[in-house]
Amino acid sequence: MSFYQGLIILVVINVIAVIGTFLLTGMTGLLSFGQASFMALGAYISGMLAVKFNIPFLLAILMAIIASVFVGFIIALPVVKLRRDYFALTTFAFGEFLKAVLNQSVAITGGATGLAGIPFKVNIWIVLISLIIVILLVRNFRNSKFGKECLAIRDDELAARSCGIDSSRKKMTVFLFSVAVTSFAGCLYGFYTCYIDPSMFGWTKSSELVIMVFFGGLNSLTGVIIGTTFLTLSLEILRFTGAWRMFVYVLIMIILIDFRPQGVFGNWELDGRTFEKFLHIPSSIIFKKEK
Amino acid sequence: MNLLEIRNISKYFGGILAVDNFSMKVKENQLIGIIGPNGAGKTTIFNLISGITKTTSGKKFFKGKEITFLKPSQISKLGIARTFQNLRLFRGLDVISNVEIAYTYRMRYNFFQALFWPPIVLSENKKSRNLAKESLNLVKVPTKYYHEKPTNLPYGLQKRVDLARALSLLPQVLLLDEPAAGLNPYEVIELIDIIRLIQKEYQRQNLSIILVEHRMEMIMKLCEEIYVLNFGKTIAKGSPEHIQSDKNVLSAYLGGEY
Repeated sequence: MSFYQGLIILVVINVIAVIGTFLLTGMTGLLSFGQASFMALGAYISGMLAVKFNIPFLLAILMAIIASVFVGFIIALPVVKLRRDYFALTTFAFGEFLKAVLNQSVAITGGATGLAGIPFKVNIWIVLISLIIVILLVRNFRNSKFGKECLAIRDDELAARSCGIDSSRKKMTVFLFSVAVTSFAGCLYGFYTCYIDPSMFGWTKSSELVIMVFFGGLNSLTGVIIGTTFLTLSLEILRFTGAWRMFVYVLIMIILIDFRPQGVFGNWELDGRTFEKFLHIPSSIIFKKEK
Repeated sequence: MNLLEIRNISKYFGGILAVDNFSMKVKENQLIGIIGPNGAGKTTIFNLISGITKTTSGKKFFKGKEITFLKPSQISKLGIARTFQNLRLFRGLDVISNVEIAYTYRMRYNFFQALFWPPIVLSENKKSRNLAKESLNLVKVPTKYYHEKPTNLPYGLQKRVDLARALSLLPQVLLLDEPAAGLNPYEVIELIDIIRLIQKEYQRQNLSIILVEHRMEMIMKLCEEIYVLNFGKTIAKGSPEHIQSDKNVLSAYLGGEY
């Protein structure tokens, strides 16, 4: 496999993880600083199923996602009732807690030395198809009543509640969906790198995911996809700057937050209406969507 | 039977008694006004009815069932809709989606259906869109604003979007919190027409409207029954003619010597 293929695979896996974060942080306004821990859950559960029980690749992923959603449910029970800053702190704490558990349980997970010997299953086609499926599902979710309700909760929870929206329940739904998508990205990551260790999924990874959502645009799926691709690639492109790499990266972020706090793409979305506006093509030709 | 009955509710904020023993009975097809100077507890009463603020004591009934301890979302689902004094529109959603929000709890599809869009999702979405258009049409928001963000609209129109959103809940009781605040005289006249229109349109559903207002002329023109509050206490209650000549009301509004 060439260097470029490997790069594309990493970018795509990252995009899937960021889309998972986007559901929570972008659409519902809940700042999640423990998102990488759900990647860890996916990667570890599917990896251990494959290594220790020889369970086939697809089944392992499916089981891992279900298990992660279950863990997510238990965490979410108290967490969805919290306000956004407390939500951020609690998810952050869970992330560090999980990392500590993975580090300590040497007999099961391999501890700090990591879990090795995961079969190499992921190629470029698998990740691309996964990405398309995830984008379509998230897009459908966003255009459905659930998407609107999430945005309403983000903008004004009190008003949303007096419009008949049970905010805790909706937050739970979107939280579990987000966990499923993020842990799926974790599964793919495990089956691509064949080796995982807890330090890959610490709070730095979590904040990276959140930063990418903010960069792309808080309210734009298109923005999140393009923004994440750009940022992940630019980290590679900036490699020639050596020690200055992180500095340049941070500089880009600071400039962005100062001049465009809503993210590069803001609210802009590539959809039927865009085609109508710029190409004067009625959207019904391209997208079968209600108008 | 009373549509809505409020029985002796009180609310303390710390040591301050914001609402003192407020009682109210609302029958079907009524238009009731609540007036009072600033800080009289008018908005607090709305918050108490819609469940946003918890009552300290007292009970609330809707169609004979007790709703005292229900959550705001449950109360609104039963059919008590409200607007907000300081607009609380969803800035991230366009005007028509803002109105559709109040209908989402009636849409019959679950999470998995939302992911795969079977026909029911399309038909339900269409239904909600049509209802939103009807509501917006009723409160006279021009079609060209439907896909704008609400913050881009003039203030008067934003207030009407808020009203349309409350109507989309298909309410039995509509609580309007100072709908005329910040409107110019012409817009106020328009608003009075709209409220009358709503009342006529929704007569079949037996909609009752409760109006909190500062503007005497509006309350006097519209309401059949008026409650007057001062410092949380109900100082008078009755028809507009009765209120206009009530001694307590005059002294609260104009000062003791009158």
